[in-house]
Formats: sequence, C-alpha cells, structure tokens
Amino acid sequence: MSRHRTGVLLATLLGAGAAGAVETSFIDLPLEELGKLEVAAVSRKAQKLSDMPAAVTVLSAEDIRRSGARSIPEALREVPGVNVAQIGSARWAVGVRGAQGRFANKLLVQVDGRSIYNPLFSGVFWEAQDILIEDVERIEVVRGPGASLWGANAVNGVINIVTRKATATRGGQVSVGADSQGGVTTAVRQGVELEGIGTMRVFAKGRDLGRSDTMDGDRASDTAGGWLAGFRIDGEGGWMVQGNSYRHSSKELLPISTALDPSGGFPVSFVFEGSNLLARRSWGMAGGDATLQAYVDHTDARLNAQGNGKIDIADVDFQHTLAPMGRHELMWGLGARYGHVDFTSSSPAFTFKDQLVEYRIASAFVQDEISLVPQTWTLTLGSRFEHSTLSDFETQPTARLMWTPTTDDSLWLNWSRAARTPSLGELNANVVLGAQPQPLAPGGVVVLRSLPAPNLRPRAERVDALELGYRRTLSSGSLEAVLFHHDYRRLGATTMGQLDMSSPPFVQPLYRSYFANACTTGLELAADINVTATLRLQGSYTVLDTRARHYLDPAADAAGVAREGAAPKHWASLHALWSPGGGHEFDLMLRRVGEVSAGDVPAYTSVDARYGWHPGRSFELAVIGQNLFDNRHLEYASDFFASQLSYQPRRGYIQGLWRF
Amino acid sequence: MKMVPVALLVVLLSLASGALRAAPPPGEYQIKAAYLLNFARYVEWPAARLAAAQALRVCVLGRDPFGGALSALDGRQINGREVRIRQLEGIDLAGECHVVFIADSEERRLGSMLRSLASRGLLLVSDLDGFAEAGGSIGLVTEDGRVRFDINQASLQRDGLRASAQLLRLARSVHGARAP
Repeated sequence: MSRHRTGVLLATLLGAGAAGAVETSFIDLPLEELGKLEVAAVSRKAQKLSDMPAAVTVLSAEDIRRSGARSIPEALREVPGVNVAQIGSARWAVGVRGAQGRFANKLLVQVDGRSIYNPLFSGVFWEAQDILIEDVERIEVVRGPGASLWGANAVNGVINIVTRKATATRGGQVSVGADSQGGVTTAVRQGVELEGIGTMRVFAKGRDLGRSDTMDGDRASDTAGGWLAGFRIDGEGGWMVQGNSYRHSSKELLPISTALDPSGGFPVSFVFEGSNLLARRSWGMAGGDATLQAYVDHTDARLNAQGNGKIDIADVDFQHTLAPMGRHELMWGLGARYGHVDFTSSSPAFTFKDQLVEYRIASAFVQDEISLVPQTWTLTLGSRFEHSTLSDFETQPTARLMWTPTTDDSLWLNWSRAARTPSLGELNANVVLGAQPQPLAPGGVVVLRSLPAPNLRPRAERVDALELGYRRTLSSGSLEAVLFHHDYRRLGATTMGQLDMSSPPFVQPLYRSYFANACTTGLELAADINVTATLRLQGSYTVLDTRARHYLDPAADAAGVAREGAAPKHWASLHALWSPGGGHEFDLMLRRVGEVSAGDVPAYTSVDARYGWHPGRSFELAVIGQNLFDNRHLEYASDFFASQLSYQPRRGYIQGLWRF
Repeated sequence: MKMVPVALLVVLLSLASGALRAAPPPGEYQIKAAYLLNFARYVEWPAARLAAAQALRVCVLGRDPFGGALSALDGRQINGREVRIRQLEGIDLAGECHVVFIADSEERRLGSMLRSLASRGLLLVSDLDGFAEAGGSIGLVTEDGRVRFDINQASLQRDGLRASAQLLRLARSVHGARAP
C-alpha cells in the first residue's frame, strides 16, 4: 500500500512541472467578465507564516471546506505531525508530536487569541468548543514549542483558530446538515451594519450529534448535543469585540464491572456551559504596530450530580512590533492572567484538596529578528519570562536560524525550551482510579487512589526541542520536511506509596509528582501540488518514536511504558481535490493510522469522499461519505477515564448552505 | 480491498487529465493578475505621479504568489503605456511603483506597511483578508469560487487616485466614502 502511494506521489511530482503553463487569453477580458469567471483550483494561500523559521501549517477556509470537516479536530486530520483520534460522539483526542489524549496537556489552543486550554484538567475539551466552521478564516498549526511567543503550555504545539472579520461576513447565511445516524446541525448567521460604529455579525448554532457504534455494531450510548450563540463586531480604526455563549451536554458509559454492579456500566453525563467576551484594539505606535487584548471567560463543567467546576479567567495581553531598525525587527509584549477556580464534589471517589484556588500569571516576552545577510540568513532570538503562582519562574527561550538561498527554498534550524505548568487537577485532585483484586485483603480488593505526593513542590514540566526543517515553494505547490527531537524532563508520573491498612477497604496510594524523563524523535513530510489546473493533491506523512526512561517503581515504570505506546508510530494522509468546473467539486481522502499499543487500538485505513456543488453564489450543497470501505473502526482507547469504546461507523451526511 | 483507494485515485487522475485536454479554467492567481492589470486601466494617477509616456510599474511586495502569471504580463500595453512588472526587495523602493501588490507573506507587517505607503500616490492591492477595510486601496476577495474586489474610496482619495465609475460599480463593496 505504502509503495503504491509513493509511486502516485512521485508521478504527481514529476507531472507538476508541466502544469505551470500560463493561459493568457482571459487577461484581456473586460472587468465585468473577470468577476464571473469561476476559479477552478483555488490554490493554497502562500503560507502567511512561511517566512517564519518554524514548522507551520495554515489551513485556509477553502481547505477546511474541502475537507468536509464539521469540527476543528476533523479539519486537523491532514496536518502533518498532528494526530487526531475520535473518542466518541463530539469527543476528540488531538495531539501534536506525541500522545494524543483526551487530556493531551502539551498543546495550546486559542480561538481569536483566547486560550481554550482548561486549567483544571490541563487540556482541551473539544466537545465543549463548538464553532461556526463556515466563519473560520484559517487555522494556524505551529508544531513544536511556540512558548517564546505564546507562553506556557505551548510545549508540543500551538493551534490558532482565527475567525473571519465581521466585515467579511456581511450577509445572511443558513446551513442545515443531517447525518445518517440522525444527527442534525443547524446554524444561522446574519451580518448587520452599525452605522458609524462598524460591522457586526450575530450567529447561533444548534447540534445534535449521531452516536458511535459499539464493538458489535450496536448504537453506543454516547449522545451529545448543545448550542452556541455569539457575535463579533469589527469597528473602523482597528478594534474588535466578540462574545460567545454555549452549552454542550454528553453522555458516556464507564464499563466498570464490579461486584456491586455486574451488568457493568456506570453512566456519566457531562455538561459544559460557558460565556466569554473579548476585545482587541490595534494601532500604530512609534512607527510600529501595537495590539492590546483583554478577555474574560467563564466555564461551568458538571459531571453527573457529583462534581462541579467553575472556572473564571481574566486575561490582558499587550504586544508591540517595532518598525525595523537597521537589521533588527523587534517585538515585545506583556501579559497578565487571573484565574479563579471553584471545585465541589459530593463523591468521596473524587475530591479536591483546596476547593477554591486562585492563581496569577505574569509574563513578558521579547523577540529580535536579525537579518544577518539580507534576504539570505535570518537569526531569531527570543524568550518569554513567566511567573505563575502554580509553579516557579520559567524562562522559555528560542533561537532560530533560517537560510533562504533562493526565494523558493528555506532551511531552518531551531532550538527552543518550553514549560507546561501543572494543572489544578494534578495539584489538588484525590481520585479513586479503581479496585484491584487482592484475595488477602478484606473485601477481596485494594482500592487504588491517585493523589498529589506529600510535600509536592509544583514544578513545570520542561521540554528542550531541536528542529531542522526544509520548505520548498513550487510554481504549483509546496513541499515540506521537518525533523525534530524533543527532550522532556520533570514529566508528571506516579510512584507507589505505603499500603494503608488502617481500615477496610485497604487503600493503595499512588503519589503524583514530577520526575519522569522521555524523548521523542520524528519526521514530518507534507506536499501540496496542483497537478493540473483542476486537480490538486495534498499528502502528509509522520513518523514518531517515543522513548521513556524506565524505573524500578512499578507505577512509575508503567507510566513510562504507557507513554511510549500512547501515540501511533506513523500516520499518513492523502487528499485529492478535483474541481472540473461548473460548480462541481470532488474530494477523495485517504488516511492510514498506525496502531496505538497503549490502548490496543489497531491500525486502520479510512477512505472519505465528498461531492460539493455550488450552482451560484447563494446556494451550496455537500454530500460526504466517511469511512466508506470499513464497517467500523476504533481510533481511541484510554485506561484513564476509560469510557465504553466507541467505534466509528460508516457514515454519510449532507449539508445545504444558503446565503442571502 | 486495500487496492480500492489506489484504483479510485487512478480513475480520478485519468479523469483529471481528460479535463486538462479541454480548456482548463484559469487558476486563482491568473485571475488576480488579470485584475491587477484591469485596476491600472480603470484608475487615474495624477500627472505628477505618472507622466503621459511613462511606463506603469506594477510591483510585488513579499513572496510572489502569482507563479509566473504576473511576470508574463511584463511589456503589455494598457491605455497606451507599457506595463513593467517588478519584484520589490523592500518597502523603501516602493516609491518607484504605481501599483503595489502586497503578498500575504507580509501579513505580520501589514499595519506599519500601510502607514508608510500611505499618501505616496500608490494603488495598494492585496488579497489579505480585510485589506480594503484596513486602509488598502483595493482588496481582492475570493468568494464562492469567484474573485471579486472591495474598494476603499477614502484611501484612493488620500493618494490622489481616481477610480472610474465602472470600477466602483463592479466592486463588491465600497468603503470609506468619507475620510476616516
């Protein structure tokens, strides 16, 4: 299979040279006619960040539309280095250069500059982060540490989701979609002119998602649905205000077969509710650009009736890019964040040491882009200095050297250091992980309880990352190859404590602290080629190898083994986009994902197809078939919070979009 | 069964090569190159900026996204003058140009760039999102598989440029009828 694919890719590479011929007849068309011409293959925007010495992929609105994605994680499936697995209905595990996981904690995700990284569980609850996908302008994926610019937790990567300006969404739009499992999604958006103020859009979306399959092909119990509503105003003079409110609820089943409940299955329901408000203004300052941004974000997460976390965050960020001075282009910024977390639990299985936690983060960054030899050699030096009340003072520096021998080639080498601050959950939670059969103990079991180690000194996890990358811009596409090595220290891990036999049932404490070491090495390849004027091919391939240090302590060693097997060793995607004209579009998407040994998730190949038709400006239709040649497959399994395995079935969906 | 995707791809490829033999529809940047020439045709510069027999310079600032489609137009005639296409190495040399296309590689520097290029009698064109609203002269917008454009009338007036009525009529939207 892989050999065939290499052959096809090679053929397209060889064919690419011939496709650049310029058709000049329409140059002389009158202006009226130009606006009516239909663009056959919309080429990928020349990467906006292509002069940055980093592995960056930018997904344009067009890329997202053609992928048929209904959510952000789905759109990320074709980005090299990014590993996406569907856990269940609306639930996703997204990892960059390493373990994907429901609680993948080394990835910073922002929507229009607002962090959606949850400080309570350190991760992103993708199910709660719904968005109007049609109004996303682009998604920037930075692989590797982005901490010097974006701050803590940008250890393995940064995902920036950028929505369109309100001035670009002036009209009305209605979209209705339905999938073969009965899930229905409806979204409405309307642009409004505010005379003398700016342009506004208001939107609302409701969704009810189709359930997954169980292993036997029955419907799983993972129902999910919710709503989202919000607005965005872009004003004259460079300011923007936006706000969102949402609610998402989902159910899943924890298949715990205990002596108490042999039927096996503990139903869990999650409810996420929240609101946020963000304002940003940009202006000219000292010949450069300044941006000031502030937001408040409220999240309320409930787990059954027992657990409730309320998180309030206020964040202010200032950034100034100075006018170039000789060979230097300087940029600096300041940031402050205040967080207030209130956690209550009525279940003895899950308690918090401190019910109320406040934390403060203050940070500053500076970056200098030095043009060593104009147009050819650039050196970027930068660092972020961050103090958090949850850990120590962290310096997160970077040095990046880029060589651009021609306008089409760039080669870069960089070193960065980044930190992940411990989550409040890690520092405070006391959780029953399960029970182990032990015939000698009273009741026949020993309860496993995970809790912070006594005298735990919170320290941030740290990574040192080396990266060597090459990018080539072709007349009809681009190629990219990136080699990386990440060296992690002070990773969170557990050790076995003294068995507590004071009263039955016996409790085996598992103490959490920060001491484990691991490293990952990998290669990311990507190609994007316009083979002909109507056919475009995009391919990506990632190899990843994780090595964890081994320990004598069985708990610590098991964590290392799990870490090594937590991500596939390789995965690949190929997307053929064919646009024959007349408003017809055909897409064929292939993915191959290697096995994940930690959860015994077998390797799988999936084939998706999409047909799109837009007869005019005002209507668009898309029909999508996912997982065409496979009844169902598993993408994710975890031992922590191991809900019932959800198999992704063959699935179809249809979507209509009206603009007026 | 593993062969099925490959077979599908081969079918797709052969279909595509069939489509190539028919006249291929133009690519996005070929259309944008044609627009650049048309803008030069429908905009009037003050005589001090563009003398009667002078060549009209169209410059690209940043990484050239046209893939040869624009440089192929070098030497063409519009309104009786010759068109010269140039790649700009830096913002300092922009004063020599009449039309400046700002490539999207320059997005990070857009704000300061627009300020230093303002009021120099330049027609600033870009396909960066929200370019006309941000103070550029003409923003190209790809919408529903078609390329259209927005005009910032205030910027044009500030630079002493006059857009023809036809250009204004065909714009998707015209911003800043009065100066901001």
